[in-house]
This record gives sequence, C-alpha cells and structure tokens, in this order.
Amino acid sequence: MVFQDYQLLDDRNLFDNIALALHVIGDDKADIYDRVMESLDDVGLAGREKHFPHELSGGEQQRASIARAMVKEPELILADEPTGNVDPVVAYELVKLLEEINNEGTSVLMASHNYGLIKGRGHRIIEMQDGELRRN
Amino acid sequence: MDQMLFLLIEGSRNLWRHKLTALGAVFSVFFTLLLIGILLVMNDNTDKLINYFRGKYKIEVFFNETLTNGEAENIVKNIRTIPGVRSTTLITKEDAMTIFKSQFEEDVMELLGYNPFPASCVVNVVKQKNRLLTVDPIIQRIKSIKGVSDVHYQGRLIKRIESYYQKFLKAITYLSGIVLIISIIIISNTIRLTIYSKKELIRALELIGATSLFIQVPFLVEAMLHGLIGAVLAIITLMVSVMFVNANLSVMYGISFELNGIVIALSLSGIGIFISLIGSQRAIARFLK
Repeated sequence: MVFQDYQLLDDRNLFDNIALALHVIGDDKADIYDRVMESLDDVGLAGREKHFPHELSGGEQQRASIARAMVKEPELILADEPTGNVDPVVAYELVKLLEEINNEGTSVLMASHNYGLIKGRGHRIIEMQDGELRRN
Repeated sequence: MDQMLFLLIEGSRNLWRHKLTALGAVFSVFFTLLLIGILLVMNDNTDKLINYFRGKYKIEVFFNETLTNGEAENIVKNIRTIPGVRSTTLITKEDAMTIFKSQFEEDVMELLGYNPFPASCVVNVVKQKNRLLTVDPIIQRIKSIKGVSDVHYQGRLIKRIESYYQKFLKAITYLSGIVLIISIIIISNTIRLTIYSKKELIRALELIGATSLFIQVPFLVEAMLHGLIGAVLAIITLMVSVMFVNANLSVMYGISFELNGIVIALSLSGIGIFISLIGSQRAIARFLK
C-alpha cells in the first residue's frame, strides 16, 4: 500500500520506518538490514536511511513509502493517489518509479485524478465516476 | 521470537523517542507514588512510636508502711492476676532505701534511725496493637486491694495519647484510600494522554498491516517502564528523605524512623507498574478495532 499522505512514522528514521514493515510480517532479523538497504537503493534514497521523514521533501517521503511497500516483495502494489501531494515534476518521477517496479514484475494499481500524468503511457486505464465504471 | 524481542526493544526505544510525554508520565507516577510511600512510612512508624510510649506506661503502687515485704509480695502476686497486667516488679522497703541512697547519696537510716519507705511495686500493662488501651479498670482493681495506700500513673497523658492515636489511625486509613484512588486516576489518565497523542502512529501501524498485539506490546512495555522509573525515583527520594530526617531527629530526640526498604520498594514498583499497564491498556484498546 502506498498512500497519498505517505503514512511514515515521524518518530523514527527511514531505515526503521521501512524495517518496521518487515518486523510486522515477522521477518528474520538477519535479512532485514540487507533488504531495507536494497529497497532504499531501488527508490533512489541510498544513503538517506538515517534521515527522519520531516527532513525529506514530499517526493522523497513518497519514495520512502514506496520502498516500504516494496521491501515485502509483494505481488501487487496498491497506490492511492501517490502523486496527490507533490509538484508535477516529482509526480512524473514517481510514476516513472512505479513503472520501473512494474517492469520488474510487480503489478501496480494506482488511483489518480491527474489524467494527463497517466495517459499515453501504454498502461490499462479504468475511468470511474460516482462509483461507476465509465471507461476501460 | 525475533519479533517479540523486537517489540520489547521497540518499547524501550519508544521511551527515548517520546521523551517529552515520557517525562510527564514518569513525573506523575513519581509524585503519586512518593505520596503513597510517605503514608506507608508514617503508618509503619506511628505504630512503632505508640508502642514505644505504651512501653513507658507504668503504674506505681505504694503499699501501707506497716506492710512487711512478705505481705507486699502476696499483694503483688494478686495484682499480677488482673487482666491487662503484663508484669510486676516488687520494690521492697530495702530496695527503696537503696534507690534513695543511690539517687540522693544520703543514708536515711543514719538520718532517721528507721526505714520510712513503704514497699511498692511497678505494674506494666499489656501492649495492645491498634486498640485503645484502657488502664482505668486496672487502676480501680488495684486500688480496691487491701494494703494498697496509693496508686500513681500518668492517667491523663495516657488517655490523650491514646485518643489522638485512634484518630490518627482512622484518618490515615481514609487518607491512604483516597490517595490511592486519586493516584490511580492521575497515573492512568496521564498514560492515556500519552497514548492519545500517538493516535496517528497507531493508525499508520494499522495501515501497514500490524496486528493489534504488534501495536500494543511496545506501548505496554513503554508504560511499564514509565511505572518502574517513576517508582525507582520515588523510592530513592523517600529513602534519602528518611535518612535526612533521621540524621536530624536522632540528634535532637533520639528517635529514628524505620524504613522497610524491600517492602516499600516492592509495593511502590508493583503499584506503579500495575497502574501504568492498566492505563495504557485501556487507552490503546480505544484505538484498536
């Protein structure tokens, strides 16, 4: 899950935030360090593991939240308006990042109001209005 | 196993992460436990103090001058059978003279040519715990014995001390109860407030899939540590204060407070941890679905 408002825990650094997702599923302690570092590297936040969420920009926080979702190696990522709180350039970068994740074999289901951002990228788009399907 | 260890460590790390709220919780635990501790020490020591006074209650019985030592001894035996009498000591005419000699350095025999002192006896009364000691019936019984000429005792003083002690016992019992209830409310509310301020954190944990146990354990560990640290601080403060008071009191009056360190330490830590745990458990339960 990736949320519009990131849902990172303010009281701990990026490493602990991402590691928490692994602790929740009872992952082996020995594995955790490597997996967290790898996942931070994947989203372009290598070297920022000691930073606290409030020290990062909105785009970086969203990357961290994507890293937290990815670290569990899920089959599907649900992203609820991940670009809702960031500027257009960062939004574009985040979509690119999700595309990379998708190319590596993880399905991504992303909700967005920003049609311009997702159209013409060769992905399936489902349009909803008032809870009804309008176009597939 | 790894996960449980992680949760325990997480609880102690939260103490540092949330140091400001922890400070508030620890302070409220500290303050209320200190109050309870003071009451406990007072309760223990008034007992000791009143027993010390009771040990001093003695009735002095003087016999007729004409009574021989043998007759006096019989009366003393008689007195010993009165309920409420702990022990008796016979002071013969000769003993009285020796006492006079040692105190005033005068030989009465040389001065008067005869021994003017009557035989007498000291009666110690039974120590009664937590019950008003009544000496009046004992005095009446002794007075009614033939051959007894006079009975001396600190009657009014004894009555006063006893009645104050009774009032004090009653007051301290109610006071302890009230303080305990208030402290439970204060501590559990402070702990609850610290958890209310972590509402967002609990929500975020739920969103990333944490089970309710996973969310609760660190909070409970944190609360336990609040209770323990508060208790340790209260115990240290109490011990230092008692030592300080003793250092001053014993010089002036020769009285010292006793502190049953282990009992006080255990009960205060127990109360602290228990109340903190209950408070935090109740607060988290409100946020978990």
